[in-house]
Amino acid sequence: MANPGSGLDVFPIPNDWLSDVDRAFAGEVRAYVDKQIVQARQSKPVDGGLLKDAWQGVSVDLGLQSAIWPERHGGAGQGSPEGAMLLTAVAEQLGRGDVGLGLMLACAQSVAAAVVASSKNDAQLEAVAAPFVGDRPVRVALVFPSMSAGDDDDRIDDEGRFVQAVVRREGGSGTLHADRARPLCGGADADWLGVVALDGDEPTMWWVGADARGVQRHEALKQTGLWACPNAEISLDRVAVASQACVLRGAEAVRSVRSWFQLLAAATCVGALVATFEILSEWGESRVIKGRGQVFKNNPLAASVMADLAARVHRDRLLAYDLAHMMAHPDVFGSAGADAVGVTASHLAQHVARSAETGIHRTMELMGSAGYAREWHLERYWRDVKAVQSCLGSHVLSSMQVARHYYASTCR
Amino acid sequence: MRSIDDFTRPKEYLSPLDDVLGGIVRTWADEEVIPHRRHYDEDWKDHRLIEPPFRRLMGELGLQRALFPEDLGGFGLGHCGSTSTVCFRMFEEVARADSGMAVAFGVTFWPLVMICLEPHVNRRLCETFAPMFCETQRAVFAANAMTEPQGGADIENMDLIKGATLRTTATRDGDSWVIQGHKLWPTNSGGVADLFTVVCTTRPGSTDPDDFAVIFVPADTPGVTQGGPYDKAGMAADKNSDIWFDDVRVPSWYRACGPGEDFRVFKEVISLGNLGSLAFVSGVLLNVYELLGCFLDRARHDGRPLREHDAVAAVLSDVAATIELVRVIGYQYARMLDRPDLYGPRGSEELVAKGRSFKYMACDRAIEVLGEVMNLMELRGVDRAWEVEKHWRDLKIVQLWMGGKQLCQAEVARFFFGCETL
Repeated sequence: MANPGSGLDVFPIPNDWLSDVDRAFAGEVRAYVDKQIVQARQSKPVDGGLLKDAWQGVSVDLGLQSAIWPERHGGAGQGSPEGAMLLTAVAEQLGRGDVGLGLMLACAQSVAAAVVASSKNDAQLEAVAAPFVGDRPVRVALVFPSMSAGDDDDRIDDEGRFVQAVVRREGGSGTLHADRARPLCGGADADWLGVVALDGDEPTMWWVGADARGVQRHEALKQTGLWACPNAEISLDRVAVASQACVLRGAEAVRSVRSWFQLLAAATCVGALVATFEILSEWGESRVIKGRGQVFKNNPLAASVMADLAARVHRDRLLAYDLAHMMAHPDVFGSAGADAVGVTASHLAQHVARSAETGIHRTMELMGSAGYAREWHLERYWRDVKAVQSCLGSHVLSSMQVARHYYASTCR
Repeated sequence: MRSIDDFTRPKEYLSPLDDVLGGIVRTWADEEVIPHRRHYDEDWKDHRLIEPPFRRLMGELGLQRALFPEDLGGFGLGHCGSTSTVCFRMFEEVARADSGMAVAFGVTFWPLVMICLEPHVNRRLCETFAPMFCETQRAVFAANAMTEPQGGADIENMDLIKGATLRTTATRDGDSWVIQGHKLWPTNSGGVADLFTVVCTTRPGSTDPDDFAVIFVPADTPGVTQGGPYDKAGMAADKNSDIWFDDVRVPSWYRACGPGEDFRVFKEVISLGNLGSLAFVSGVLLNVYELLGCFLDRARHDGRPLREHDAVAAVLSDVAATIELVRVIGYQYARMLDRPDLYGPRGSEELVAKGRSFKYMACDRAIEVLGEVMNLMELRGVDRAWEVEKHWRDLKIVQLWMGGKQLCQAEVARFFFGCETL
């Protein structure tokens, strides 16, 4: 009989992909999540307070946020892109506890991973590393290109998306400008912003403190989920930026952040699926179809739906770790920002997020009203996974990139 | 862009009441609900914001009276020959505003259907309960207490289980029924309903239809205790809670129809529940169509309006096509229920099974389409200000209730393929 106690064992991936260090770290995070969230939620509400404490614990107390930074900058030296497996395993465990926490990891570590992998400038690395190796949990909001609402059609990237921020230069200095830019998540209480902006025609990413002069945070948005990382629009009114704050320059470099985000978002969704599997396992064991005298999981119709979920968890887990493996080996597959890896990350993340939504939907259908009640916690994963999809963007529009890559289509 | 009235409605058999009542409800929805509904989620426990529009719809506009005979202060919808068709329109219009409100409103009709609908009108019970609904401007709700802690699907699985799993009992004591039991999840519980129908058994474990009983219980009857409302993913306007019946005593004639008849007529309630579900789906999709239209008025991608993107056409057409299908199916089913001379009794195995098939297909499709719309809207899709996500959350329970998808599938397969043990 499968033991739902450990996703690492129940849904195996190739053993040699995770190092002992990766497994140890993931195990620590799993144990922490089990205690601070999964068990705690039986008696406490899952609210911003509980999740904030959990983020502090995982980020600082367990040392997650400094894991991939070089030792000379105060980190644990796991490196990037070598740390892809570690980050994926941790994102999965965090997503199992709370999807919002997984997304917070994705936002913060996607910038970290991209910068560590690409930066040759020690002073710049030092500046970006500082909050990650400090003793306060770092909260990052990413401002990516997005769908526009009647805005400037000249500020469009190579995927047809509106670039929400722009750099203006006067003399030798630059300022960042954005009017009500909408981050992916976490805008309401981020300490740092990773902002994709057009510098002339060139896409760039800027690392900006949320308390910098000219940064205005608007009222918190009410969303369908992601209580761990509430969002808000952000305006940048002539925010002065030194050249060091430009952490990534060029389309490929900027695209690498997106690839990392997509990888970790996918891993987070896998965690949500594992959590769903665990909830359904308990339900299927304890529920009896009275009219048939059957334990729920032994009814073939119910079992077929349960089987679909289990298969889905395993497939999506393999996919996410496969992507991590690719990103950890740029010598073989190309860098995170290269077209091949970027497209793979994009369609894979879309697939896993949609698959997670479907898996949780079907589980709710099996559990009936219990699936809908907050008491069983399943509905929270359902709402949060949907929010992850929104961060990944429209799958229809993303498919244009896929068609261009595989078919040399000219569609946009 | 076309309006929601451009979607198909079967003109050849609409009742004259369709546009009249539909128009009244739409005006109410546009003025009283839609401007405020984004705050309803936080109002799930107190209904401070939700109660006034209910009062307006049900009490002041009088829709809670609709099923009662005219001479008792009602609209006479119970004998108009197009009850289901009119109800489809009304429920659809309410759901366009808020499907939680549509459920609370629609379920109020469920108990009353047992006594107000031809050919099984219970005149004595109509006279007893009509004043409660017809002589007030206050919103008055009814609830159908059916689901029990050990399972709801079993109780709904009437043709196979025949009520054998019911643990709520009704025992005859002189001129009274004494009811003992525990129910959960009824719509309009948690202190909302003034009147319950309680699904119970007069002999636990029995599969004899005579022992299946539906008994009316006013909510203030001694021995009735209700818990606080459940905290749910959505449907804030619909309160659900536990209800305990401890030595609850009601007159013997509070039984809806009688031995054997309760079982037969209650299956009509299942059919009408399926119809209501279809109407809720239709109403929600119509509003999502409107909201998506507003979004598309501004959204741009690659320097052009998003609605002009060829690949997006697939999503847009799925929305429109799904509305068309649900509308056509919903009105067709309504008509089948209104024409027992052609299609047989409303509670027949055939009409229940067909209703289940329509309901679960419509719900599945609607949830999928809603999800696609949210995905297309990207970060606005999960933004509560756009209200599409509210419809998505609210509609999910419509898919889950009434025994859930698996029961629907089992009943449909049983009926069409002659399966005997599913």
